[in-house]
Amino acid sequence: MFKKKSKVRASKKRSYMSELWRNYKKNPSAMIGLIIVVVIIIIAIFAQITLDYNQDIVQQNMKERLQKPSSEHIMGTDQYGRDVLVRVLYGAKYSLAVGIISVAISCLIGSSLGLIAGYYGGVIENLILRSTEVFMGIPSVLLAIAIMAAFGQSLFVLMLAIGLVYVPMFARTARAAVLPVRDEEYIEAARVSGVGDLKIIFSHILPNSLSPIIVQVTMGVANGILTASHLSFLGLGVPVPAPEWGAMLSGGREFIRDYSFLTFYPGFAIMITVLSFNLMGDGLRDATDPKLKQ
Amino acid sequence: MMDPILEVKNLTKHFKTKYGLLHAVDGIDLTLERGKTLGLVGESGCGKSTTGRLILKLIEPTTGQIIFDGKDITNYKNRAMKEIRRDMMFIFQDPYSSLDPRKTVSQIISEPIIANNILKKSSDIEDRVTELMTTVGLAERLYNTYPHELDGGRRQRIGIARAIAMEPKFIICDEPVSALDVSIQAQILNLLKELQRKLGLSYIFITHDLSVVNHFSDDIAVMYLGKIVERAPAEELFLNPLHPYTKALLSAIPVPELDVKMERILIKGEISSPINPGEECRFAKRCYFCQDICMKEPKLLEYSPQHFVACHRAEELKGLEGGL
Repeated sequence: MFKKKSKVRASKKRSYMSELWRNYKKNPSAMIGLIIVVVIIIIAIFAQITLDYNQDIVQQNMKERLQKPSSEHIMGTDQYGRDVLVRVLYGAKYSLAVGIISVAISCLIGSSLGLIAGYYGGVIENLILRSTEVFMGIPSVLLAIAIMAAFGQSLFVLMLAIGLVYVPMFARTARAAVLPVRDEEYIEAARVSGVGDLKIIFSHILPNSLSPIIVQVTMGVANGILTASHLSFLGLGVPVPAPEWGAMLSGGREFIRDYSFLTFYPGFAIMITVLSFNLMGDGLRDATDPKLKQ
Repeated sequence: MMDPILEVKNLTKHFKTKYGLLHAVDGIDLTLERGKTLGLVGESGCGKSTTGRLILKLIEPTTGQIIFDGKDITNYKNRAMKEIRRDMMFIFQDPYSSLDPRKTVSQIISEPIIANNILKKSSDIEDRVTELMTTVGLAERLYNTYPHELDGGRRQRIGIARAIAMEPKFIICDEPVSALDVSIQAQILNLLKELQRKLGLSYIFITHDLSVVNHFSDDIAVMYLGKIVERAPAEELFLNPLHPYTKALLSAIPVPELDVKMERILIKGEISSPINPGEECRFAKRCYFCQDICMKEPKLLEYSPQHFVACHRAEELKGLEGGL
């Protein structure tokens, strides 16, 4: 009998997500965004499995340098004779990794700070908010450059730098989401029941203020990818010769007059990825908006 | 006054606002005997909910003393307060905002049990929750439903189940029925009454509705602008109201009989601001019997045994009935 109960409980618990999904799939542009994101993820995984980094991605082949797009090289070759299509496909991995891991870092730190600020209020809130304002006063790319300069240049430092840059955004989003929940009577009820602060934050406040944070995560991935490309373009991101899209743009820059495809394809890849994550974020925001619920 | 479970002495709460000090609760004394019910009556904004929250120490009092079950809990901090809170619970006014919308009925009811480590095995907890649900009259099939799937009466039953889960000695009911339909009000009141008998609970019953409190309370305290203006056993208060405000409130209770003509004492104006109140009687501005003496604040004095009133003219007005 109790086993049955637990089963029912498990199936009921998902109802928030299923409701979200029901609202989400009504939105065609959001669905297009989701499909593209899924395709990009599949490409990243397959490129990683099927292509050999040393042989296909970075090995130079000077005989075939700067070939225009043809049936053999659909997107042409770059100044070292490497196939642009293969490199663009392989590069999806970097953008996704940077986008997702940096957002994970900023979401974890930022949301925790925001939850604490919103829940406790007073001096703690002021302290956290004012320091986020200081960080927001520094242009994000400049801040990332400073962090990269301090810790050296590698993929991990890039993720960390971008992650830290977006901490204030998450902190503010989370705090704003907590404020209306904090004064609800069920929080007071939990306190009367003897529930500790930490448990209240994670089991009552977080689930009830999750929607804006989820949206921010999706938008954050797009921002992270864009910032990573900025930094790589400036030569600060993933070290060459890795086929990061921003780095490829930067490499093709000198040839933009005669061989514009060198910059067009990686740029297009960035655009599509960022666009689809943004479409997803918009769709999620609409789906979580209670005013749209039937 | 043999065995008080709760004594409140000179309890005061002032809030700082940008216009001055807001006297939410201004030096009130209350005594609640074990197993009895004290009705706390007053209009919106008179500080009755604040009083409830002060007693549970959800807000820190400015001054005053709270003695619960023989212990002075006024200065208790987190850890000690957590121990005490097992014995004091709260039933909230709004059954819609007092239940977490993301939690199932069973999760809500089991929360205090889990938070205080009363039961550890999940099957024990499930048994206890089912038992509590039966006690408050909730069908077992609602075990895994969410609050938004239920009506107001059922939701309030969930709140009551959560409040009695720890088998407390004392519950503050903050307008537990005012958000409900009249038919359901009676059910909930009967449930509360029954639980009091079964579990030996003591209640402070906060309400703005005197007709509700009449059937429910042993003692009634009438609050006005942060002060208690009259306190008496329920029967005595209804038979012999002394304070003009109490008289006015009582005259507003509808009598369900055709040939009884209602004679209402109307109160003029609206409740005055609790920010920086003056020296005069708090009710003076709205009182039909206000005289020069009322410019000085009256004390709450024992007029007849167990009957306290804070009015200078209580003696003169004694004979006056409603309709004046």
